[in-house]
Amino acid sequence: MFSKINSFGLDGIKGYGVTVETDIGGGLPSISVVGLPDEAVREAVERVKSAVRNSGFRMSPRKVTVNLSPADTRKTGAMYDLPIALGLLYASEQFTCDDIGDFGILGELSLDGKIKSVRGILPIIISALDLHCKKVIIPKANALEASYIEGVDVYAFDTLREVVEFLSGDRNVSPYPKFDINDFREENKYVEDFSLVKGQFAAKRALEIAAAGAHNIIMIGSPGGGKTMLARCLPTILPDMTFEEALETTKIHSVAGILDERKGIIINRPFRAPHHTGSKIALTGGGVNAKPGEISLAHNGVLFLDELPEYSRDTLEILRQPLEDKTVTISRAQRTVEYPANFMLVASMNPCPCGNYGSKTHECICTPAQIARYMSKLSGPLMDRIDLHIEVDNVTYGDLSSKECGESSAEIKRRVNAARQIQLKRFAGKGIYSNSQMNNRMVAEYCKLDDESERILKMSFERLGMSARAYNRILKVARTIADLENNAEISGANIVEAIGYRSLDRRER
Amino acid sequence: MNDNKLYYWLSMGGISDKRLNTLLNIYSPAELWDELPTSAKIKEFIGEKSYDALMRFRYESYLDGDIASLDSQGIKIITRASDDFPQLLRQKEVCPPVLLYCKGDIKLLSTPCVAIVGTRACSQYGREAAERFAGELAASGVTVVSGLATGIDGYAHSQCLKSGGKTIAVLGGGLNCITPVSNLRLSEEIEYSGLLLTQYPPSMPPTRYTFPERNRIISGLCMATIVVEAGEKSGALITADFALEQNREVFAVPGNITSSRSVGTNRLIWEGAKPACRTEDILAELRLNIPKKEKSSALALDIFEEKIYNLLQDGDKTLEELIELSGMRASQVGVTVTTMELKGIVLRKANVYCVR
Repeated sequence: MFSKINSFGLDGIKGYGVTVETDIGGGLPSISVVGLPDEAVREAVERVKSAVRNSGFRMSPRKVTVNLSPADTRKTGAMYDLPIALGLLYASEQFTCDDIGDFGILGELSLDGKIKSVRGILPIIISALDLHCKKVIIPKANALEASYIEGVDVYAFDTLREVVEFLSGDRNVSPYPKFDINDFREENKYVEDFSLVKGQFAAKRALEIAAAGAHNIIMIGSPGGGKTMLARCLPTILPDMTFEEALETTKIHSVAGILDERKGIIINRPFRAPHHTGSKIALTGGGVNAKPGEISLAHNGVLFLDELPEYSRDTLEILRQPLEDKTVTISRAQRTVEYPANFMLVASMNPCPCGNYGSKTHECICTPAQIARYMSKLSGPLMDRIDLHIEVDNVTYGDLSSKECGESSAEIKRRVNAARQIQLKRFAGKGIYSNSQMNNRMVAEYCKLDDESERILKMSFERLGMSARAYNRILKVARTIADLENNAEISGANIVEAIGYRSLDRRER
Repeated sequence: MNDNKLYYWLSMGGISDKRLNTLLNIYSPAELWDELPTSAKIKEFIGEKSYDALMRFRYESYLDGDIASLDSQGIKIITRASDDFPQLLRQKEVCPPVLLYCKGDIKLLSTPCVAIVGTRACSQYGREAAERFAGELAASGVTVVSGLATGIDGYAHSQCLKSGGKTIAVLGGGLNCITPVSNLRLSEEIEYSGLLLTQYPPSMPPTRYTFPERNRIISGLCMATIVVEAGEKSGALITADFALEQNREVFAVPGNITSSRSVGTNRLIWEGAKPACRTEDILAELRLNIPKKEKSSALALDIFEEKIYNLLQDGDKTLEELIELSGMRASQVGVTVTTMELKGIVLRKANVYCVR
């Protein structure tokens, strides 16, 4: 009258094994769940009772104890419904199965016995591999998400009855087919395209560099100049994700429970644009269950902050550490989790409070002191972490009506992809994917300069009064420009172009 | 007893400069010292209060002690008896004070001076104009005089210092009561490499009446006054009025007719002030030497740079406009303008490039 079912729990984006033990003994009919269940797990009892009855089985009229082991970690969510139900049926000998210990089982039950999708399947499947669990039973809605991982047989079901029939050998089910990530790559599913942006050649060039090396970029320009439009086009030229990158990102989206069931994997780099009224927690992640925030959802993709100075200073300063470490650690009373947050920051701002500073058509009504105050909202340490600064001009009517449009996104993307391939090859086995992620030692190794370039760089520091902090940024950007040209060495012209993208360093604050 | 001490004594009576000047037209300082206790006529003219004050301080030893204590604070006093007292300021129309308190390099008082004044709430245009004139005047060896206020005054001072020039700040209060506090650091720089000047005793805070009074000294020190930006009732217009009374040149920087901050300067031009457009013109008008500018042919330019240079000669351009007009690739234009910036041929301001 005892059963053991293997299941899983989630800690951040890592899964761990949980054993659901069920014992049926003498006493008044009742079910109690122990092993630090949260409210959702405790309520599983009610769902399980109905689901069991409505699937044509019966509840045992005796005292049932369910233990979720390890007993000292907190279990959350509704994914233990299915293992508890199976444990109950197995312990009450309503079906038999010799190899039930080989399966890892998860799923939420509805009252009529249907199995519903749960959060975090992908990281759990990956951890199942580590736990030497070769077969898993999961909800059908999550099947696609689990189908990218080789080495685990995935059995997906719609109802409790099907699972019982399968386990007792009355139903023959083959494992869910495996998919390749490339089956889901789509060509040009975007509405935007760079060929629709008239003019703005300088800005497009800068965005191409930013996309190729995953550099942080800030666009400064008057309202209506097209900053947001340019940013919205950025996803169309971002390089294709590698399988590893896609898995990392999908894990986070899976944990957050926002994964698209029809695809099951994040194959296009995420583009997250949180509004400036959002809270710090929304950005970094947190809450009772320490869910991932916007910066983690943008992992391996783009975090777009429109009107940067409108964000509260607290919110912006909180970005500093993730920008440096590429991860964010969230500590809450009950748990501490670490989420990866390797995003590319794309920001836009006006040049002054009224927005017309530097405009040729509108008068700026701001005093220099107001402009200084506006700029000072962005702290030096934050701005130091931004590699490229570009000024976006207002587009004139002539631009809009006439004008060749320039290249399409597909053409730019081809170059970006080529440059990213060079970087992937360079950093193979080093745990990073792009030039922007280089640490100081790598910069010294991969960004060697000849004497001429060294001289130009030195001169620029003297002439333009740039800060020493800009030094590594310039080298990294120059490396990316050289990669775009498929040059092994960084040339003087690459350095000069990179220096040109440091306009804010030169402005007096 | 020397005249320096006598003038210092006279400054302590709190007599207005106008009244004091009238008095000094009749009596010499020494005569005043001697006759004050007995002359009822003088007492009546200067009033009871001033009379009492002057009588109270009428001890040579006291004056000696006072002057020594100023000296220990690094404050120099220049009285009318001194050769250092600026010639231009001695003019009758200026109604000069009897002495000036100084900190810094008093030799600047004998150099050619031009005042740059304007509103405190200036626009970016005003700032650029002030900095342009201050920088270029400083480069031609002209001393820039202003009032250490925020806005135009402050930008004129600091740009002048940045360009390695000399600048004089005329204060509306005592040397120990620098206002506004935000310009305290600037005042220290000016003290170090320029001159701080005031007619008010060190511990006297400025009042709303001292600023207009001080403005006559700004214009009085200078051959010309450039008004950069002034609204309808800006204090800078008072300075311009003083300059006219004192027969000095007045230049006004023209502004957009729609800009509220250029109403005053545009009116000055309408009333006959010369529009200030180029530093060369101002220097020529004042018969000062014009420094030679290097010719563009002396610059070594490659074909890309040449093209950009020619485009910029027609006027300031943004990067986007340069790309469009030159027909060059975006990356090439970026490389070219930054190279030219490094060579010091072009200047970048916000998002526009211009020829230096």
